[in-house]
Amino acid sequence: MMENTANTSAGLSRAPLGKALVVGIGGCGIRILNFLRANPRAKWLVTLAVDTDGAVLAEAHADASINASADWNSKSSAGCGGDVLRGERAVSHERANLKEHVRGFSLIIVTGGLGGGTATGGIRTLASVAREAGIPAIFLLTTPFSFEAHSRRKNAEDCLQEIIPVADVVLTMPNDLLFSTLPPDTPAEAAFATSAKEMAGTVAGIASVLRCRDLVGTDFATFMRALHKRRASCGVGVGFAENSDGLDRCALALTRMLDSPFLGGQEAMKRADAAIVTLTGGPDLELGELKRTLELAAGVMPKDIEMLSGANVCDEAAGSVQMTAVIFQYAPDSKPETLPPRKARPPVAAVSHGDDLQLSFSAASGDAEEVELGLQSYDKGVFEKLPAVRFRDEDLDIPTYQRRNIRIDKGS
Amino acid sequence: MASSGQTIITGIEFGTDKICVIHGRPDQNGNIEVLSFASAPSKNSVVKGMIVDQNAALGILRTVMEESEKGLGRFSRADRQVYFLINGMHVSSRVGEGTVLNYNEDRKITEVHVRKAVDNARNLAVSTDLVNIQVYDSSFLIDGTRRTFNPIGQLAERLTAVIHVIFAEKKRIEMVQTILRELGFESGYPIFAPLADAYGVLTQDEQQQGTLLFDYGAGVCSYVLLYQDGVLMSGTIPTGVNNVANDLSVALELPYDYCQKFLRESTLTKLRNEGKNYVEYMVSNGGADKIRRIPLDSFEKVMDLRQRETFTILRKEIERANLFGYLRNSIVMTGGGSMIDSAPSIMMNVMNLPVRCGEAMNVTGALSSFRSPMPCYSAILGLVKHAAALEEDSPSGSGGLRRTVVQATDQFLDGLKSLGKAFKI
Repeated sequence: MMENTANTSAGLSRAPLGKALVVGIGGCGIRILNFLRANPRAKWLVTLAVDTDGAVLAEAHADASINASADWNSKSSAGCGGDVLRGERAVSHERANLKEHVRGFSLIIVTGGLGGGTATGGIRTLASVAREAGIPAIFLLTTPFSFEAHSRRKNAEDCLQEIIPVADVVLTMPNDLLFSTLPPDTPAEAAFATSAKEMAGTVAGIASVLRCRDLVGTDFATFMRALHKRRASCGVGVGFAENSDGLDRCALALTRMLDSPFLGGQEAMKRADAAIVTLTGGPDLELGELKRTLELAAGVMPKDIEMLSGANVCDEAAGSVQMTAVIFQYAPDSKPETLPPRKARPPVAAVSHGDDLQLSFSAASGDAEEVELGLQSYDKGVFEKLPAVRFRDEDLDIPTYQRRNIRIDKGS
Repeated sequence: MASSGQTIITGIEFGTDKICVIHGRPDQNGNIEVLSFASAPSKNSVVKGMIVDQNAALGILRTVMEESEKGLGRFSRADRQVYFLINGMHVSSRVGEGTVLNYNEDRKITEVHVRKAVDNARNLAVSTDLVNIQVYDSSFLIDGTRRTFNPIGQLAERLTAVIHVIFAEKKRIEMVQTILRELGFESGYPIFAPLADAYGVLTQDEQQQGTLLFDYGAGVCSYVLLYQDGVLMSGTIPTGVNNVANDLSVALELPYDYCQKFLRESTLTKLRNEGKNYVEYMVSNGGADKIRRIPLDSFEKVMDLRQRETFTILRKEIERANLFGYLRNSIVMTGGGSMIDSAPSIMMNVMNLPVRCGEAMNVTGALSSFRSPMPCYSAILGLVKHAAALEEDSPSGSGGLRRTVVQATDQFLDGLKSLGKAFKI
């Protein structure tokens, strides 16, 4: 059914085996790209760096870059100062440029860190460009650490609320998951670097999942199937092992995958409702290894899980194997049907599929909720003097963006 | 029976955007020949599909009627059958169910059973403020489980008729009847806008296989879900193109008229195709003109949010009625809103179904008098087609629709057949 949708129609069924473009947006996105470039297993991916800060772009290890300027009249490259609207304007200014860069690709993976200006503001434009070009897009985004400023968390939350209805697939990785693996005395800089490194591994892992069609198929449609019309929390784990690691390299890759910080641990796997597990190896991958590894992976999952397995062989992976798992825990059906009220708490492992208006937020333990005061005033424009027409207890004459608290750039 | 080509049908639309009058008749091939057409802006006399200023609406209609009659020639008002479109939140629909037990020894369902089941289904308890304006056949349930569209001859102990009844507020209908009497017409017959639309633009396959017709109007959106020539669901959502324009106007601090024009002329797409990223808007500031640059992405965002919300409401309404499974073919969009470039793609994205823009089919004649793109007129053209089929099916040649309105109850079963026929173009 999904092949009929507007933003996914052009490429769902033919996406995976073509060229994939990884777009790193914002400072965090470029850090992730830099780690990705250093990953030998990600050599087949084409990278594009997009940022408003020229200094950051100058150090980007990407195949191409776009220096977006928030100023209509000059090509200032001084960044957008964490201003979401400036970031949005800067990236939208480069729309034609972006369209040129995405042309010819069959899959786009967008990665970046939410909370700042460029990525948070520019993601929607990227989703729009991908949709217009008919290219399926996956958004792999980190959300801020809980110790970061409240405004950053709110920016991230607002961005997610906007992007989910228009994007094909959005996977958010809360940086806080790293607390489960990093010791408390880890320097902050190292923590951010670790986040970017893990995200780079995740991007490579997800890309390899979507590439797998040789032996046992999983592709973009598998993702859509797993997420179809459902909200879910997700985790991603990637494990890698080489021949030199010992005889049972597959078991080692599986162990490393289970230890991946963005997977959320074995407990998260046990709670999962669905999982996509893939094994990528070189031409030396044996059938016995494949069978045993996928059986081992199935063994650590709950019995009633909906498990989708894939495997492939590629020359670049000669002498090594990589296990990748994406696990989904569907939100309970009891979730409210309308958009949830906006609350100031960090989203934890939220993921959703593009045709769902809703977001899944798990409250971080111990966080106090901010109560929203019902004091907002609305401007109904030409409908101001007309009697309110309520539909399902909602005054639909109030502009949608006002009811959803979405900021709009009025220009300058 | 009125022979083809003799009965002139006058169709009237009190739209939020415009008041239109059309005169047409069926030709010998079953096509509709448009004899004349005229329209004028409704100038706030109609809000969200409902007349709010009766005198103003009457004045506009009088002018439009006279204009349209210039091209009509020799046909007097008495020679014509008048039908009018109704729309707005005062229109509602309900599903009526009526059951009859089969005591026949052979357990075969007969026409008598069907008639009794349908009669029982029509006994809906509704407010006295409402009037039943149309009844459409939907389906039959055999023994409460098996759905069929022709139960006669089948074996069953229990037959349930499921019909679709459309109601409207009595005072709204009376208001239109008063306006028509002021213009010298005896009366007119109401047709719910999306049903007229459906009749005009849907192919036979679409009517059979499960198609949603979505009339994306200026003031409201209305829809009808057809399956096996029957109406499974219909309804109205109180938002339309004007809401999109208003959202743009409020969000971007632009005049409402400018935003309407922006939508009507597909400015977003045009500027994008020119490689532009923003709109330049001239602002007078104390005698000095300044140029405001507004990102095109902001326009897209506001439009996307409103339209996605409207279509999501539609999806949820269908899901709430548990009828999404019958929507197997496609969605057909009509009305001025269907001309907004992003509307079909957003609808496709929300509903996961193919979407096409519909225009009235098999229409000939004075089409040059239509000034806007044809999807804007699909309802009024469909109204003529619907009315022509009903007139032709009428034994007396006039008042055929009476069999589908609540006032006439006797020949309801025949009415069902005629509507079944009516939906087979």
